Amino acid sequence: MGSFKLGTMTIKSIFSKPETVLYPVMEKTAPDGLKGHIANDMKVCILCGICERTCPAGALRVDKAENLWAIDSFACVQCGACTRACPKDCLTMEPTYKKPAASMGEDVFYKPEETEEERAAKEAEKAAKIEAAKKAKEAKDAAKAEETSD
Amino acid sequence: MGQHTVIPFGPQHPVLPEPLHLDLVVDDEVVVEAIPQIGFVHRGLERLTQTRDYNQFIYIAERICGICAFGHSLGYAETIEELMGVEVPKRAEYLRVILHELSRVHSHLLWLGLAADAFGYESLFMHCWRLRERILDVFEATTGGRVILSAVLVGGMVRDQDSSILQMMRDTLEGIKDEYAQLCKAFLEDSSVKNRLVGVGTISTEDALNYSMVGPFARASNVNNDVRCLGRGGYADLSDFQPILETGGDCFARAKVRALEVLQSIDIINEMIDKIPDGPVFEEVKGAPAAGAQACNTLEQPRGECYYYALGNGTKYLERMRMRTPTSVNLAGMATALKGCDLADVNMIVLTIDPCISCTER
Amino acid sequence: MEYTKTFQDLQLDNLVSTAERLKREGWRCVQLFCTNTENGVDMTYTFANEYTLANYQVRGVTKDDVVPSIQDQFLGIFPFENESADLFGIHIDGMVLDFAGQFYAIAEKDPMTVLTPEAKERQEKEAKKAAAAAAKAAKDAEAAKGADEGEKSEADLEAKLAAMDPEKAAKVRAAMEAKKKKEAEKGGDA
Repeated sequence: MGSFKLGTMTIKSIFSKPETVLYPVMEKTAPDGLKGHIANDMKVCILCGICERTCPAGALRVDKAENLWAIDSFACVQCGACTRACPKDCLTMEPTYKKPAASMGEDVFYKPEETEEERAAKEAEKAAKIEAAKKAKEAKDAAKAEETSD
Repeated sequence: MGQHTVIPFGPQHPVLPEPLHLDLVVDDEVVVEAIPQIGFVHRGLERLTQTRDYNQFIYIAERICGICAFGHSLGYAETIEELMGVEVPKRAEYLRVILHELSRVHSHLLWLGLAADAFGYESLFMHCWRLRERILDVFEATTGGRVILSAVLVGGMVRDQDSSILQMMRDTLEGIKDEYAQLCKAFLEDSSVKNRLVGVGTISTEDALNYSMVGPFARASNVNNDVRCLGRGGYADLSDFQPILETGGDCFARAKVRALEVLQSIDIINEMIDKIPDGPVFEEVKGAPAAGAQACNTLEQPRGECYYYALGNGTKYLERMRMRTPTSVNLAGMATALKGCDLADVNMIVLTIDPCISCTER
Repeated sequence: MEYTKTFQDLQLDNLVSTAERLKREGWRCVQLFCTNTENGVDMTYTFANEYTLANYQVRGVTKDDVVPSIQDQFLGIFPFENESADLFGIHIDGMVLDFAGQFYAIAEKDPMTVLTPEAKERQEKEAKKAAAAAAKAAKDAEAAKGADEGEKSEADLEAKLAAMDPEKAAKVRAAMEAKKKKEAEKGGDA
């Protein structure tokens, strides 16, 4: 005759620590790999729009003319497809959940305007590139000329 | 002989987590006939292949069912890989089997809890779900999601798991084994459980074959159609795989098959962790399925055999995607099991086929 | 034993006899589904025994065709036959469990035979693309011909130069070289 086979377990659970946490007061520690929400490093982002085309839920909106990147967190399914597709690796999956919102809608992020220094640095980089290309060409031409003179 | 009465059962019913409607024709307290009806949550997911490409569809595939989410994304990915002739790295295959078996453990623990709840054993229900929570924590640590994992891609896996995580997985399973043994004892030996389950809703082996039943529902009637036996993917490297069969065919046999399958799955996971090879876990898939190319695939889900079919049309979008979920073929068997049972046992029998109505309708 | 999956075509008239034969041989029914095509609906019946998954495809079923039900052989197929009737508008005759179009609660009749605007657009795009590709191939063939002609003209020029007096020929050659160099430079900058 078997009855109350769960006795040991039930009595044990009276004395053991509770399995649950008292939520708003305490919170469970999130593991590192948790898929919480998508974050974008707008400084690095080039607004190419690949993430927008990859998103299976259509939660992302990229507008190059207006310099913005927007995510509809209510549509996002946290699959992480955009973070894998991003050519600049500026999209990341952060291990924290978003706070509850009072209204639905998009979160809009703008790409910061470039400062004077950054622009100058970019120009310089561009100029250096052109210079290098020119030099390479000259060297090539010289080699060619030598060949023909031979 | 009393007059026949028709009692509508569901779609909203305390014991049913999902909308299933039954027309029960009863003679006093005995069910004479049961006619199932679904169709309350049809979402038309198969049609979404027209607007989502084959890489995006994997996230829709796993939303077919909340409990076998991983299995659906796995079955879909395997079908597309077969369609496009892609070879998946060995390590990814092993990781897929590990996660698939883990989701079987979580699904069966969920079912055992629901069954305990249905026959009124509240504390057993709580303990089942407490253990299931540990499995969900493992999912959270390995893939970042608790139920919808988004862990599979066409061509491999999203993340590799290093040895410390695999060790954590093994430790967790080792940790719940002891407590699970006590739960099993309660399930299989407690007289209050036996009183509700033994001899209820019996299905003979012939009927199980006739009605093409699948999964633990069929295995409880001694019909082996466990697709894992075919040894494909990571299952090919298992040293020994014997499906769990019962001869009883009643509710108790079904509960027993599921209870024992949890232990079997834990063994499979441990063996896979021991044998897992090194290497990459993802192979980039390029191009699109050829026009007119077709592939089909079967996979053993926690609820039974699942069938997938894909037809390409030369673009990134599939022409047709078909998923046949286990519950849809089990409905006929369920209607048979209900014939001749007591009205009070109807909820128990419906629950023991582990119905997943949202899966069935997609 | 090796696990095999087969696909084979089946005539609609042979459906019932095939189902009867498979039933006798102890196969189980896996499923039935439909695919919408240009010439009607393709129905695929799948049966399985221990090591085989056999797909029988009945091609081009139209709305006027009457498909016999195989529920008397395999009752498990009833959700799929009703689904085909509801979503694809297939007329299935002799169902044991017939929901008469009420199996799924749907707003539109035969929804799976209607293309979404996106799919339609894509199909048109594909057709256009195919047409463009064909046109391009034709053009390429022409261009190849043209290239031959170009080479010919260069050869002609050489012959002409040889016939000219040497001083004039040297001038023309230098001019041509300069032009080529300029072009190359332009290309490099771009």
